[in-house]
Amino acid sequence: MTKRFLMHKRLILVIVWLILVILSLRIGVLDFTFKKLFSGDLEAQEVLLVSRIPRTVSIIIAATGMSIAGLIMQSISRNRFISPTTAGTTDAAILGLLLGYLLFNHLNIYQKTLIAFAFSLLLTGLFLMILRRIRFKNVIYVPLLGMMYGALISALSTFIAHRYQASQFLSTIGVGGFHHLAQGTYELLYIIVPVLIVAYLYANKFSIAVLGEDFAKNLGVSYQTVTIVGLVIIAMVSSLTFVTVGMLPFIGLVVPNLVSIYYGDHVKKTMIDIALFGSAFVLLNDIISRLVVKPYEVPVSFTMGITGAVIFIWLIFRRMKRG
Amino acid sequence: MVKHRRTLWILSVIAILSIVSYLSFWMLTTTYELFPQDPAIRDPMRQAIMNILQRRGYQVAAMMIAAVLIATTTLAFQTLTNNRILTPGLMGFDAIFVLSQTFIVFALHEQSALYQNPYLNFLFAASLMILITLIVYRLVLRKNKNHIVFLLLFGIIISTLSRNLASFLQTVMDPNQFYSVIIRTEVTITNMNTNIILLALPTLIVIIGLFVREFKYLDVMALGETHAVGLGINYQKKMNTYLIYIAIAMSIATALIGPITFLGLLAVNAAREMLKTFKHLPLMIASSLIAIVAIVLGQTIIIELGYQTTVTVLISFVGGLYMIYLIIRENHKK
Repeated sequence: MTKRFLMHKRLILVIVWLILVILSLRIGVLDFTFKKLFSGDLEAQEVLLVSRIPRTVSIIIAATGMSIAGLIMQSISRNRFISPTTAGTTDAAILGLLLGYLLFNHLNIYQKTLIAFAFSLLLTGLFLMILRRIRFKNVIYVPLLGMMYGALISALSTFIAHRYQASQFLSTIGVGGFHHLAQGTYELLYIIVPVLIVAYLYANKFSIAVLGEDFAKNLGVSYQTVTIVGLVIIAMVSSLTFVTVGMLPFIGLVVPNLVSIYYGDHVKKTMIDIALFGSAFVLLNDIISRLVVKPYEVPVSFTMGITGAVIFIWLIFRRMKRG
Repeated sequence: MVKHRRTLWILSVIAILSIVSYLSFWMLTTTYELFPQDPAIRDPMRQAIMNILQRRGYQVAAMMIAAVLIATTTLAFQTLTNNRILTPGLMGFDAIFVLSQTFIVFALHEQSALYQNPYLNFLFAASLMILITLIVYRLVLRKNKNHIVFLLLFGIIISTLSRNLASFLQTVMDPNQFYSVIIRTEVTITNMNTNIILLALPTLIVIIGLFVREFKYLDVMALGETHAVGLGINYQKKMNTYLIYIAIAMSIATALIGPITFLGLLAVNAAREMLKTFKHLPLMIASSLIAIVAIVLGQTIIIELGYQTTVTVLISFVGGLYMIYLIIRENHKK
């Protein structure tokens, strides 16, 4: 692929992204048009500031964060089919929130995030540690093991919830949606931005980590440090997203894989495309979720589960055709 | 067979003991006087005992049918995919089951015969599962060297897709319809669907009979496709047939007792460890017995402990730990 071709692709991506952002700001139940806004209508300004901008911004941040968390996870575990949802990270956050609820009854959003972060970090770290002690005959064992690990953690959560009559609470954790986000509830997501900047600065080291521990050592990169930094980034991003937005299925898996088809594996070069593509994907899904049962809406995680699955099936077939 | 006779006997005895304990253990711990002297309450008490025994009998039958089906299909599935940590349960059959039920109510009505009549309903759900299975497996398994990766990913995707489609339909449907779907699809071991036992039992006999007849081919197919074809087996045709059997068996098991992903894995791998053989017949008998013990004994213990948790959780926990242990042991860096 030539450089011009890549620029061309990126330009199209940016245009699509901008259109989706404008659509996302425009669509909603309350009466709001850009014409009104520019003619100085106060009500329109308020709708924009209190509801539309928070929603759109949080979609962009959460989607970017989750896509990049997926990318980092795939780099440090050196496996294309792993993501926070297939390695127990989300299940760990759910377990943490459940325990927090049972022990302290009521937690504010900061305490929730902290406990979800601690559990994701610990349990994902444990998983990656197990992975490092094993040499697999077949890469497929990694996501399989990850799924079993996740099932184990969620069995533990179910057990605890059942024991202390918290099953209903458990079922409400993690249904993803942006409908409840407005001024005052979404600001926590801004913490993701500096985390992502760190990820961007560290990007080259992640691409070296993809080559393996021995290779990284030869190039003077401490594999250990890269893994730990990556792990902290993944745990922070996914716990923040999980607590404020909920579960966003497939995005960590689908987006990095799709982007790497067109742009290759270079982490730093692809990060911006992944951010654009990931947020465009979630914006589109959110718009669909808001339109299908207008004036109500369906949780975005349901819509993403469907569209993400379709894209992923297409990806697999593409790969199969090439052998 | 002769070599394994002792192990199989011991397992059978344990299985029978667990069934007996499920049927009778409650008598020991109940606070009621079961055989009262007073003739006025003797007959009602006897009637009550008979009722409980009958209900538990149906439940044991459902659990045994499901256990045998799950164990046998997991064994066959592992041979076909040449992988010891796969199970048809990972292929998302439970999610397809929920989707099919939701779809019937959504597209037709909860009063329609397809939903109300357990047999018609089962036939519809089973045919949908078979259809999806065949499409997926034919597409994926055809001429593909690295097929397990794709098969597994397809399983994850199909289950996420069906689960989300079902939730999507459930969100937009009428609350009454939603409620009736929830009642139907929340099949678990404590909420078994014993209505279809009369349908499940003959199917079980037919499926197991078919599989037992085919075990000699499966023994050869376990050597891998190249060897099996070299030894004169029509691998593709056999595989398609077995996949249909597996889809039918899994739809019955899911409709009876709901999803238990780890039961098949636990039973088949434990049987392999105990018997140290690759022959399908003894493995199938042993894994079916282990599955029965796991589920029936597990359920007895849980009832006696006052439903502190469910047997599904118990089996996922034990099974999950055991599988992780097996994977690590098999792949450990030397």
